Amino acid sequence: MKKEPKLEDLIEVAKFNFLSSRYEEAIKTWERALKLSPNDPKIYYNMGIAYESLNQLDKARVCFKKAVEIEPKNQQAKQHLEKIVGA
Amino acid sequence: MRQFAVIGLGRFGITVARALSKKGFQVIVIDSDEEKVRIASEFTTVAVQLDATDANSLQKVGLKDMDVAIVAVGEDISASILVTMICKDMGIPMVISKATDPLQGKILAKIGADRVVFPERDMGERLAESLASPGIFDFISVSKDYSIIEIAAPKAFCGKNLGEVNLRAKYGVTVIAIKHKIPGIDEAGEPTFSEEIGIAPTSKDEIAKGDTLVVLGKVKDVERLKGII
Repeated sequence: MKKEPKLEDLIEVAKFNFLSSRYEEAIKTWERALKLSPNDPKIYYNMGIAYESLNQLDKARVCFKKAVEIEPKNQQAKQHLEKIVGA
Repeated sequence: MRQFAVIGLGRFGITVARALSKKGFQVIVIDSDEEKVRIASEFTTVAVQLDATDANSLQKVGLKDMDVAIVAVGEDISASILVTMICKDMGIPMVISKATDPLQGKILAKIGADRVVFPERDMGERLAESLASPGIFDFISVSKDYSIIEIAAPKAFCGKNLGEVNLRAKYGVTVIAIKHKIPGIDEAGEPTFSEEIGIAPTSKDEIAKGDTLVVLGKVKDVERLKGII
C-alpha cells in the first residue's frame, strides 16, 4: 500500500518546487497539503504567492482572501491582497 | 536639486506633493484652504495659504525660482487658466497643468502649459484596459499614436527567447523591459518573491512563466497584440 506523505514533507516539497521556479508543481503539492490541513492560512498564503508568481492574480486573490478570512491578523496576506486589489 | 511648486491641494495635488517630497525634492505647496495647507505642511518644504490667482502674492513666495510648477486646480477652469498663465509669465521653465476635459486641455496648451495631464481620463483608460483583460496590468498612452502596455507573458511565449517570439516582426511592437520574478524565502521561512527588471532586453533574453512584458508600439499594433492575451 502506498504511504501518504506527511504534511511537513509536502510543505518542504512545495517550497523546494517554488524555489526552483516550478510554481505549478508547488501549487499542486500545496493543494495536497491542504487536504491534510484544511483551513491552514499559511498554505493558502503560500499558494497565493505561487499564483502571483505565475501572474494568475485572480487565483492569487482567492488564496490571500482565504488566508485573511482564517487569520485576520495575517499582515503578509493582507499586504498582497491590497496590492492585487489596488486598495 | 530641482524645486517643485504644487498649486491646488485637491486629491491630485496633494498626492503629487507627497510623492515628490518622499523622493526628497523641495516642494512648495499653495492653496487657499487653511486646513489643506496645514496638512501639506507636515511633509513639504514650504506650505503657503494664498489665492493663487493673485500674481503679486505668487511673486512674493518666490514661485519664479521654481523649476517645475504643477497647476492642480483643474475643477475651477478659469483659475487653472489664470494660474497657468501667471506661472508661464513668471518664466517657470516647466508648467504642468491638470485638465478635466479636452477643451480645457486645449486652452491650457494654447496659453503655454508645457504639459497637460488628464488624471481622471488617463486613470479611467488604464483601469478599463486592465479590466478588459486580466492579462493586461497597465496601459499608458504615450502619444496619440503610441502606447505602452504591461502584459502577463502569454503561455505560448514561455521558454522561448525574444528572438524566437519575434514580436517586432509579427506585431511591430518592441519589448522594452521584462519583469522577472525571483523566488526566495523570507525571514519567517515562508516563500516570497522579488521582482527583477531587465531593461532593453536583447533577442537572447528568455521569457519565463510569470514574467511580465513591457511593450511599446503603435496603438493599432498594441491592439493586435492584446488579441492574443
